[in-house]
Amino acid sequence: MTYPSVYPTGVTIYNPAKCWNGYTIFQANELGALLIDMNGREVQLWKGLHGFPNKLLPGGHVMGSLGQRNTAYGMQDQIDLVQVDWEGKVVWKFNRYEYIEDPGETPQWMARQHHDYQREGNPVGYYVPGMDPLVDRGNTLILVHKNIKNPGISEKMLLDDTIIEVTWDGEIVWEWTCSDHINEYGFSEPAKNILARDPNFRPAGGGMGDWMHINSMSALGPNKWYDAGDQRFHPDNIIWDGRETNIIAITDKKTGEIVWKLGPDYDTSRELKRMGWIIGQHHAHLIPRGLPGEGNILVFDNGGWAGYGSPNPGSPTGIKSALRDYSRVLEIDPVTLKIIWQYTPAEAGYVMPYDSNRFYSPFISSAQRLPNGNTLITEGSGGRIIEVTARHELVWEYISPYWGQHLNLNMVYRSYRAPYNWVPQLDRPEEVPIERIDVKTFRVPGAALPGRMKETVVKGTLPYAGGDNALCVGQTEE
Amino acid sequence: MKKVEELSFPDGILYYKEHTWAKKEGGLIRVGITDYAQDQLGDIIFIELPVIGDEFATGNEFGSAESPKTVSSLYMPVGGIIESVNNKLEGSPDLVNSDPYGAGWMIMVKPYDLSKLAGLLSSDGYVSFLKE
Amino acid sequence: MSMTLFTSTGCLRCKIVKRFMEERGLAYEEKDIKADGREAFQKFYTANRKSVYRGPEGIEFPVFFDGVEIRQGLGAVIAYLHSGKKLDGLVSVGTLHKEWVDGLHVSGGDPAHAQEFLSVLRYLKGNNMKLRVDTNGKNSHILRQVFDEGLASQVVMDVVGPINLYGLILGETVDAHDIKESIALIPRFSEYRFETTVAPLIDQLGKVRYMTPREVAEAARLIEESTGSKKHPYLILSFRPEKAADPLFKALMPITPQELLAYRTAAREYLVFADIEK
Repeated sequence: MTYPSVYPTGVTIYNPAKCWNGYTIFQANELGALLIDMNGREVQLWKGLHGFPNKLLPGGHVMGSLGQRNTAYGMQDQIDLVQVDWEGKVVWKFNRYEYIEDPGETPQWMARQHHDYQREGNPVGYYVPGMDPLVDRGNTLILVHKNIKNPGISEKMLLDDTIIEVTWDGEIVWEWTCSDHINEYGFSEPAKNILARDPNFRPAGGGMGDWMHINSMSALGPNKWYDAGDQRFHPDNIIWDGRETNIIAITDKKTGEIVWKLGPDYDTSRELKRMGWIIGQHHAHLIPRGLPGEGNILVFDNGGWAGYGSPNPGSPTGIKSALRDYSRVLEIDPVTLKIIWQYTPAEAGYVMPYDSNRFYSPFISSAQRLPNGNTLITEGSGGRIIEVTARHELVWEYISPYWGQHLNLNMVYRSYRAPYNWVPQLDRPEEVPIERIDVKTFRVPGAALPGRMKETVVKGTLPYAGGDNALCVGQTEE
Repeated sequence: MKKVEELSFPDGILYYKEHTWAKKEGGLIRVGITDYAQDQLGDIIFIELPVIGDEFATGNEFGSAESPKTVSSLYMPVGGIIESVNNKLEGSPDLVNSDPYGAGWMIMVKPYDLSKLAGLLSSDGYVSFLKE
Repeated sequence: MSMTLFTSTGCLRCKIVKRFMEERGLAYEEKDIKADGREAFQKFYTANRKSVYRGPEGIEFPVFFDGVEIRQGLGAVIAYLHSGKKLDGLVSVGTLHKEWVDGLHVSGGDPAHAQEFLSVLRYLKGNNMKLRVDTNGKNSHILRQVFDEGLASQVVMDVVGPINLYGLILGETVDAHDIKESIALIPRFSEYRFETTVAPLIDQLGKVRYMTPREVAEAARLIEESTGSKKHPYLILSFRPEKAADPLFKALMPITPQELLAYRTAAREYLVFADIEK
């Protein structure tokens, strides 16, 4: 997307009256778990604490990991999942999922955690009034990796996604493996062919196919659909999404079966065609009871490149066959599949399709519904976190100033907004409004200020008109 | 095993989703298994049938068909009482393979309710069901 | 006593049995069930169906019948032809196919016939078969000979439980030394694994219950201590009550996959690669 070379970082827009004010936590690239206030003051950095993602818990606790497995042997395997207090003490840890012996590395138990986890008390992993996550007891759902071979999918070694539930003492009491349900996902024949040939093969550990790439997992929690008798939406059921397959699905906790699903293809029914393709998505979840939009599914539909299908000019072999160069945040009714609310380049004020890619993160990213109806959106690849109202007004914007040394990106995987009272160690911060600067007159030191030195009128010119069909490509119809 | 197009599903009899057929003969119903079922089984080497006087509800198991490959349960297309059984199948179960709708018939049933036949599939309906 | 061999066209394992009989000059009648032997097999089956074994893929061929005894499958037929009923228990009908022969259980029968058992294994291996040998620890001396002669391509040991429950679960007296010798030998085979079934037992109070996670962990500890290593493939299997002979055990509810997780966690303290059967 068109980013200028020089631009401000930190908070750039802030309207305190319209925001849902609180702290924002995210994993600052190669630095640690960072907690900022609404003006971007860095009120706490848990230095060196990894997090995939980091989540704040009541009492000023944070969850994350102590490290990542050597990427020569593992792909996105966090060694453990830990809970750390305000002073940096590890108060809870889980790592006993698999005993790992990598060449030249210390043999150890690892959690192999990636992308998500949920602590009992709160189904979705972010602030919901009346549903605080437990801090000193309770079970944790963890998304982990397992290496398996499944000839029904491919002859190649697979990096499979598994969801486990562990007790406070680290006992695994539930386990669900996504490749067990290969026959329930509805892959087309072309998709099965390319999946067998190239299950998204990544080079770590001698090579493994990251075929599904689940990046989000949460419980449904109490909801109106289940109250009305729809068993698919049992509060214990788990909703997850696969980035490589474009699938969003609900797993029945008791039977392990897939009971609700979107994708992998979005042209198989009238409702899905109307919705349009969801591509490479992140953070699909059910908005919990207690928040505006409860019962709807909120998802960051990245666009980018994903899906298994037929070869086409953008995808010579059929892997990552669906493409789009902008993102959408969608709020979807899970029964009618109607889009209830959305934030796309159009709502962001960009003219589509010319400027569509100005709202675009082809990977990572997230969307959190806030108690006042606003939505906190992480447009991850550019490190941009924004808060928008239900009417799409931009009321807060923050750009992460942290580029990595290993990776020259200021990416933010996911951010979360939490209430001030979750950090009793601090006084309530001062909220200072930041008016949106008019970029037309904003200049850096040394550049010429606005204004012409000579203005010349040319007789006979016609005024500039707008009108349809003015540009080389057509404008997107509403 | 053959494709659906290569098998035979005559008109004039009715079909049940568990691959048995029913033919009305006066107040009784003759029952056997379809060409699809015998083809799936392979060479039938034994048929286990009920005795006269046994009663079964619709959809209940009344016997089994065995081949080297597998053992398949046989299900009642319509509930009723067993009036007679085809004793020839004891010595020649292969009749079910060679003539599933004729000499390979299995049981004659006195149905509890003859009108329940209306719930069964026609030849075309059964073929569509097989193609699902 | 006339011998009949029911075969199926193209069945390579049937060919090995036929060659064995021809080498020994044993007279027999072959009935190919897909050709002109179809009717004969149907008659045989009708008369003997309760005694004919069906595996997951159907009736196991070849089926051998000498008028008194029925034997099925490559291993069991050769064993019977070789030694009559002496090898019953040591060799039974297997479930594996293609080039694999299983149903070979060093603990399953009378160790007095060890030499004849090994002779059968040698014959099968000499016909390019890959042998999977099972043991529960008893008759370690036979296992030792299997190892010394390189007869097994894969070995699976069912470690029934901790030593103090071994005899109770098997329903017979066991020699602890014998069991430990077997355990120590297993990792020396090129392809091996240990297994424990979460079996039911009748405890001292006369109560019927399943083994506890702690008890399965003690079985894992037995393996760790006997081998000096925590790193063996180890599978925890669930018991199938419907297949139990004892009516008390048949009445039990099966353990759920989720309940098996507790057994895995407990076993992993001693064997880090412990996993549960899918």
